[in-house]
Amino acid sequence: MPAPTKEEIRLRILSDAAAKKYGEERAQALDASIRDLARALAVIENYPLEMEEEPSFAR
Amino acid sequence: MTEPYRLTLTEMIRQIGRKKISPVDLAESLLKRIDLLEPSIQAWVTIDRGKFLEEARRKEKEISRGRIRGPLHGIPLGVKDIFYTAGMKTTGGSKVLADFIPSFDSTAVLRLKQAGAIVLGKTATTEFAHADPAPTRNPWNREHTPGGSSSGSAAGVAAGMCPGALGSQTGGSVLRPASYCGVVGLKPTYGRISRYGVLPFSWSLDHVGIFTRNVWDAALLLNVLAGYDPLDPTTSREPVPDYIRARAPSRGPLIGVVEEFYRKNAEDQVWENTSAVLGRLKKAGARVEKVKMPESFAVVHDAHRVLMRAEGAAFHQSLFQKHPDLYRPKLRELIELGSLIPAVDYLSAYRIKREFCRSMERVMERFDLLLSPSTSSPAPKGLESTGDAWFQVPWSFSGLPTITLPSGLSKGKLPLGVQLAGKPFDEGKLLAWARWCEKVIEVSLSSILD
Repeated sequence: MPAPTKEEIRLRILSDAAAKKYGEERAQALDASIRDLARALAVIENYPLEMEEEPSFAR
Repeated sequence: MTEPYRLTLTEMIRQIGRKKISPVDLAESLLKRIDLLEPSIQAWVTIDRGKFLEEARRKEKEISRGRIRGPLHGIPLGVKDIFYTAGMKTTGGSKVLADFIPSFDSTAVLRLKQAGAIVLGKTATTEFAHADPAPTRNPWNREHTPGGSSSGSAAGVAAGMCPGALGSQTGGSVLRPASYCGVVGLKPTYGRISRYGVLPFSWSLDHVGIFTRNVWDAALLLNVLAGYDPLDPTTSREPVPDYIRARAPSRGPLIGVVEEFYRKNAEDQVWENTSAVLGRLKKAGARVEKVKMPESFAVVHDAHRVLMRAEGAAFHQSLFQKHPDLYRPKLRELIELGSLIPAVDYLSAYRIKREFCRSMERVMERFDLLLSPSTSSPAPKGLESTGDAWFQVPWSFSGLPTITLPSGLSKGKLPLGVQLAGKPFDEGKLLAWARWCEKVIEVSLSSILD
């Protein structure tokens, strides 16, 4: 069985967290948006950031 | 004589200065216009006619005594209903704040008042400036959205109900409604205008913006609004020049066209309009080159979404816990999803933002302007959505100053626009080039609408 992708792992974690926090029914209703968020988080995780790059509010 | 409501902001100032019209004439003309159109457009949440007329009379008396408060003396303006206004309701378009009356003005409103402007009223916004729509309709076609979140500000200016208005942008909430409604929308550099006293949505992405009928008027308002504010730690100490006096060099601008992403995602009629605009600009002396966007451009929309959701959830956390039933579906969903985002991912999105900002500054070193269509389509039909922010997000995320200009009409007679981005904190040049482009493009839609 192939290893799950980062997106699949994200989806599982987010879906579980949503079910715990908001209940199964609400988590189901949020499913499409949770999938979209899982994809976005995987995209961000895969982006190769330089070690020196810091977050900063100021421009 | 031209009805006062038809004048641009600059013309109003001139005519008041020459005593051809008085602040009361102007106030009455705008109220008449609002009475005529408001039932079908619904751009306003609150107008206190008594106070408004009283303030106009006060300004008129001051003129007769030779007291001019500032460059906007007697000019009525619209204010998006997320800006605190002392003694006047600020609902954020939400039932949660339905009866909230701030005791002080936001810095932006205070600066306008100190310059002599009068708050005509509060303009409609989507709920807390997110995606659950206001009832506002597009003045060009009432069956279409005016865009959002600054729906009432854009529609109000387009319909001649006020000569200018304040708005805000986190994703595309100034540039998109301005484009959909055929007016000028300016989103200055992140940190150029104070957000103190403005209901936040996402601290790292929120910008105060301006709606007017032409570029000159936007420069006038920016003159008053720009500058450091000790109450807003994100405001910059970069000097504020006189944006009216800023001039473009005598040569034509070097324009970078952001083609790959925008062409692929725009409707054919939108890209045709953008190409026609570029043709005109080239003929007038502009040099046009394709821009290669940095690698991080590919993840901008995802990183933006993560920042906006996490910060939006953080701001609304306690209010939402107290009043979950008063929240509308789209914002409720954003808060619920944002609450699930791990801190590590939030910070990674933030680091991407920083990298993108720096990369875009390097891109901007070569060009005077970056040009792209403001929206992927004209204003969509229906009021259940305010359109998508896809085309405007890169400019919110980069924090670069960006202005949208009307550039023509679609096949269905709805406005189209092009957006121009400039160098950080160089709004002077951006506005000067935008005036040049405005003159070359020769499209002023406000005068057509009646």
